[in-house]
Amino acid sequence: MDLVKLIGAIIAIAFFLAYIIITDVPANINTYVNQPKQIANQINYIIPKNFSISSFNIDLQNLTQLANEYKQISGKLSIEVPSFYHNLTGNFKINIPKIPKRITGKLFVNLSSINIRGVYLNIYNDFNQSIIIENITGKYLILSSEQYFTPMEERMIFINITNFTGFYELYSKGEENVTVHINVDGINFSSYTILSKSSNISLSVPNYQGGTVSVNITNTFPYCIIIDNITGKYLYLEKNITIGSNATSTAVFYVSNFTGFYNLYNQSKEIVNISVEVDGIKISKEELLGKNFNISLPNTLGGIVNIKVYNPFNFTIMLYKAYGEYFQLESAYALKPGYSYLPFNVTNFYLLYNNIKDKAENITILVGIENINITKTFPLCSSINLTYYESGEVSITVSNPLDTTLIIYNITGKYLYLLNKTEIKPFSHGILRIYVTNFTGIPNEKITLLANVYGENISESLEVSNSLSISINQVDVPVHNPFNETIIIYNITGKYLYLTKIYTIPPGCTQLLEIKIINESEVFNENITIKAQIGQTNITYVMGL
Amino acid sequence: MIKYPFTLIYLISSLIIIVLPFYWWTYNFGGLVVIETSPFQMSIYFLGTFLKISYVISAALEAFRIFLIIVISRDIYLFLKGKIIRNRILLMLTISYLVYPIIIYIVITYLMSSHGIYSNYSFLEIGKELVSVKYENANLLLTFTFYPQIIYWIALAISFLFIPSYLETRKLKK
Repeated sequence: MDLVKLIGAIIAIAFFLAYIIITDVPANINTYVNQPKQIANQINYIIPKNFSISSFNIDLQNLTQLANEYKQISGKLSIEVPSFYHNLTGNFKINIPKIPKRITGKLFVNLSSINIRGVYLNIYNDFNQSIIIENITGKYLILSSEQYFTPMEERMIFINITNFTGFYELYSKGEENVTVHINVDGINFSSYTILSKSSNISLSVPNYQGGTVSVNITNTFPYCIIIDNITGKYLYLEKNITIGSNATSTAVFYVSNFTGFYNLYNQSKEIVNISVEVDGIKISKEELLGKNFNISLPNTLGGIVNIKVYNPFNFTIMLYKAYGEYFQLESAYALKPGYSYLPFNVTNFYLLYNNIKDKAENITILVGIENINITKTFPLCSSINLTYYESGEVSITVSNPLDTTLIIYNITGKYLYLLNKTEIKPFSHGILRIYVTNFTGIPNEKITLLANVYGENISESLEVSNSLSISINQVDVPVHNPFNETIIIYNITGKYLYLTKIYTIPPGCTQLLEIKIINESEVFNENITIKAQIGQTNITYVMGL
Repeated sequence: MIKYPFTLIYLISSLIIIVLPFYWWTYNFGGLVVIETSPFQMSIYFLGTFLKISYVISAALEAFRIFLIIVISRDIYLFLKGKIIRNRILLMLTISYLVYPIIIYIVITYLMSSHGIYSNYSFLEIGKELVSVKYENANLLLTFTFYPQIIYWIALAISFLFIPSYLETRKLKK
């Protein structure tokens, strides 16, 4: 051993010792020794465990039994609707105010001048209405043409004298009577006066004018109404009004001829066409506008009506629901054999009446006869034959023995289907609502079940015998790859199970292996063979379940 | 003009080979255990995971590398001074790698028989062998792959320079 080798050896040993001290090898010695063991122990992870294969039962025994029993039952369920008030009578109190029926005024007729041919008269129309002087006649006087006077107009008119001597003699004596013929709105009147320097004719003429009149209308109906229009010979409603129940509103009418209107009104001969709206229903009818203005309107109110229902069976059945467009049963009732009176809530008597009259009102009933719920729709006021059930809803209790939620999406067959998706919590019961379209087809029917167990969808085809046993013949086994090598699982085979496909599990990943089970009752008694690859090593592993 | 060219090339090449941080051989036991090794460093993988013990082993081997670098550097120095040098280090290292598969065979055969593992493993020096192992319920089919890296072949070629080196120095020793 020379010196250099000795120094080299010392440096090498010093390096190694420095490494041991810096990385604290003695403290980590367990890590170095245990690491391979820990890795080796992880092999347990890749061996599938927790093969829990379960089955659950749907007992359809009742279904087939009931299907057979109900063939014996016969009866007609009838529903009778009593008569009810579809119309309500009430009145509108229309208070017609005092309006001028006649117009009075004066016609001032003054003699202005006289000559041999005729007389000039100064005439002033005191009326607030136009008048036509058709003629002015005296013993020796003739008006040559009609004279039109606007209200408050004053002007001269000329009247021919046929015999001046005779006229003047009478005039001087104050005996010249003249008759004035007046036309107001086509109505002729005449009045006379003695012609003098100053004379006047007092006239009272009918008020043929028109105008608006505010009228209070009181509604005595128990609901709000809208009066769209009231039109008579001499009046019409200017715009529609809404009047609350037992309330008074002011309506504005236009009266085209006050006198004409009053004449008819006083004789109770004013016939008006009235359009009323109640809850969107428009009624138009002719009514006599008198002091008592009575009218009958549709009863759009709702209310309770007792309806007679006949249960033909000799046992109690349930009437869960009964409803139509405008009525419904208030709550479920147990119908004893025979007649029962059940309160129905009617939303609109008038529309219900109309529907019944038009034979358009159907009733839909949900009847429960033991375990079968039957929904039927038929015309109201008739009966439905429950002699033989073609269809109905059946409730079946299903227990879930699994530690996971069982979701049943659908059960379908030629003659039945599941009404709604049903979720059953672990270790509990649920109710499947199955609708049967034909009970006679039930026994030995082939049905398909769609469900979800352990997050996996399963689809099974089964036959309805006495009891329907559905087993989960597919399990998903999670396998974790703890290694840094890819694991390929080629196959898991047994006499009663097999792996559906080859699974490649990347390092550090977990995959669910889908395993099909052929016979779940035998599967626990067998050994299964797992063929896998880790790295480049193929492993064939035989294990018991 | 250098007197002993083979010796010079041999010594300098040996130093370079020792300094280079490459693995010489890879022993792959079906991917379950993979050992990459050289006389100066080692990595052991078990089921794809690097074993930490490799660091400690490598530290010892690195110390050995440092020792050899010092010794060969000293020999080169003395050789250039005119001293006759016969350095067998690289030759010994490369030849020893041909012996390792035998040791592996002995160890594996011992371990298997002591654990009741049945295997059709027969001796493998270099290349591939399909090994079937049966242990309890498991049947394993492993591919053993033992193969050297290019650096090993270079090292082996260089180490054979020892023969002309030996001859030229012996001749002149006379």
